Amino acid sequence: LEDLIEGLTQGNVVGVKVVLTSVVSALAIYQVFLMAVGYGRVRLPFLGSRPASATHRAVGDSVVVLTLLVALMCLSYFGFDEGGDYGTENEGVSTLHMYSGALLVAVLALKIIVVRWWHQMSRFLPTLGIMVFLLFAVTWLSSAGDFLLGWW
Amino acid sequence: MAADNHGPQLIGSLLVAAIIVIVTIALVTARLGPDGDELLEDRRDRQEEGDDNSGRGSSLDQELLRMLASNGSEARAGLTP
Repeated sequence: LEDLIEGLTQGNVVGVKVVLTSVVSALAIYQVFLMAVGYGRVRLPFLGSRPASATHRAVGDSVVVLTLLVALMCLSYFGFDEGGDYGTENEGVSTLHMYSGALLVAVLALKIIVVRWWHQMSRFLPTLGIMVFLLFAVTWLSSAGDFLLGWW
Repeated sequence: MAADNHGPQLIGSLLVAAIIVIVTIALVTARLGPDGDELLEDRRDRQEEGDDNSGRGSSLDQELLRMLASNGSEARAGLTP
């Protein structure tokens, strides 16, 4: 799998990962905006709550696919315990990235279960959505953000 | 009738998502340049230098390497369309 990923990315595994995670994080910000419109917190004359919610669902499906792809790349190429290989020099930040990424996939999976099947828990969807967004932010900041901006 | 009104809004908001994707790819690619993995290699080399050496001399070397790598990445970013 490691060879497949390296072949698909033509050896630029980190570069492709940085681009994909940045795209997903930018879309996550847009997702928060869409649901603010969807829940009626923000009222716009040119976008109703139903189309905003429908777009949130469509973009969300794409975000999930990309996130799982990046997670697979991360796990198979970098492993789960190699400090310093996620695009940051700081081992503490690498550890933060590792756990926030794992937690992100878990919360994302729970959110999908609630949206599709576990409707009794629908009242927790806004909380789960905010958690997903925050975890996207932390995961990006602790890897791609650091790689691009050199904060840590 | 309601679906007729929502159609253009749905397409518009999906187009905004597509524009966000395109702009993000353009910005990140411009920042990374064509040699993103080389940037990481530079960072790893600097880290290894820091692990191998100690004392004032080594920290100055590290700082010099950091500046060189930083200038290199800026130059690459500037060359990327």
